[in-house]
Amino acid sequence: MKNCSKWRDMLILDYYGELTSRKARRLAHHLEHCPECRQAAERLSSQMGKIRTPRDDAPDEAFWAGFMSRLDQRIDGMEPSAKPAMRLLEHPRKWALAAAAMVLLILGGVAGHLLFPPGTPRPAAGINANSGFSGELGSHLDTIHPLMVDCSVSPPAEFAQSMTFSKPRIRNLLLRNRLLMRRAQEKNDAAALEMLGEIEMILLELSVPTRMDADRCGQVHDLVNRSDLVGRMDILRRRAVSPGGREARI
Amino acid sequence: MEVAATIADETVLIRRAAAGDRSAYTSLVEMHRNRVFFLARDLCGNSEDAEDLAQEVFVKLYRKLDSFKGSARLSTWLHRVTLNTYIDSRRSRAWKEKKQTDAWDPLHEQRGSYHPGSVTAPEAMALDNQVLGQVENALGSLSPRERAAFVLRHFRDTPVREIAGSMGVREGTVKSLLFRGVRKLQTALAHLEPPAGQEGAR
Repeated sequence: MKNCSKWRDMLILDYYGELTSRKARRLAHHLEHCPECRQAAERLSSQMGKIRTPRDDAPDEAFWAGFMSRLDQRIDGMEPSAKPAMRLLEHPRKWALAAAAMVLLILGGVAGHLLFPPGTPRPAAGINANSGFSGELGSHLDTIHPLMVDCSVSPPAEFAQSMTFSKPRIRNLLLRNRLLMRRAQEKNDAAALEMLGEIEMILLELSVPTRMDADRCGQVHDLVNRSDLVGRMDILRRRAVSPGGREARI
Repeated sequence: MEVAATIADETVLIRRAAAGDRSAYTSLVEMHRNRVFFLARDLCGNSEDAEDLAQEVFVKLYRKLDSFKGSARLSTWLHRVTLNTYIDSRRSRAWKEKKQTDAWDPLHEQRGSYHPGSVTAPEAMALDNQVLGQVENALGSLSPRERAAFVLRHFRDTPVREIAGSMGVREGTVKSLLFRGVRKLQTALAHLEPPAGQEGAR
C-alpha cells in the first residue's frame, strides 16, 4: 500500500491556499498520479463546502437598544481606564483569589525547596510523572508533527528559511523527548522507543546553534524521509490518547 | 483621505471617552459594534453568547481607554480582544457547565451563523436545519483556539499570517490548529458524505 500520509497532511493547507507555491506544485503533481489522494482532496472540499460562509445580517435596532442599555448599566459607576489595582479593589473575589494565589506561590516555593534540595535532579517542565504515558506521548507527537512535516516536505533550502520553531523550543522538545524515551524504556514500548530515538537524532541536528545550511537541511530531510517518519508518527499518534488535542505546553 | 479623517475622529473620540465623556464612548461602540458582534457570533455559534462576548469586549475597551495609545487601529485592537476574550471565556468553568446543559435545538432560532440557503419547502428547511445542527455540534467539539483559527480562516478568509498576529502565536501554531480543527470536523461530518465509491453515482 502506498503511504501518502505526508501528502494527505498537506491537503488541508492546500485547500486554504496556505502552501508555498513550490509545495503546492509538488502536491498537484502527486495528485495527478494518485487517485486515492485526489479522492481525499475532493472529500475535503465537499465537507468544508458544507460549512458555509456566514451571512452578515445586522441585528435590528431593538437589539442594539437593549445591548447599549445593558452596556450602560454595566459601566455605570466604573471609572474609564481603571488601573489594574483599582480593578481588583472593585472586585473583592478577584482580590481574594490574587491573595490566595500569592500564598500558594510562597507555600509552593517552600515545599519545592524542602522536596528538592539544591542539587536534586528535577522532573522537566511539561512531563507529569503521574499522567499517562500514552497521553504525554500523543501530546508530544502532536507538537512535533508540524515540524516533521516541514522537514519532510520542504526542499532543504526552503526549509532553512521557513523554519518557525526557535532553537530554545527545539532544545525543550529534545529534553522532553529524552524523558519520554526513558519512560518508553520503562514500559517496554519498543515502537515508541524506536520512533523517539529517530526524532532525537533530528532534533539534535536542528538544535545545533550554528545556522542551518543547505547540507544540514538536506541531512534532516533525508533522516525524516528515509523511514517515512511522518507516516509512522501518524500511526503512533492515533494509538496514543492525545489530551483534548491541545498543543502541549513545553 | 476619508480613512485618515476617520482615524483622526476616532483618536479624538478615544481621548474624550478616556476623560469621562460617555457620549464619545457610545459613539465608539456604535462605530464598531457590528464588526465585533459578527466575529463574536461566528466564534460562539449563537447570538446570545455573542452578545455576552461583545459586552465583555466593550467593557474592556472602557477600562483600557487611557492605555490605548493609538499605535494599533481600534478595530484591530477590538478584533484581538474579541478573540482572546472568547478563548478565555471558553476555558472557564462557567462556560463548560453551560455547554453541558445546552443541547442544540434546531427550532431555538434561525441560526444567523450559517446560511441555510434559499429553500422554502418545510422538508428542505428541516433537512437544512439538521445539517446546520450537526455542523454546529461539530464546531462545538473544537478547542477554543482551534475554533478561532478555523473561523478566521474559513469564514473570514483571513490569511494564516494575520491570524497568528491576532492570536499572538506563531504561524506554524495556527497551521497546526487549523489542521487539527479541520481533521476533527472531517471526522464529525464524515457521515454526511456518501460512502467511498458511490460519489460518482450522485
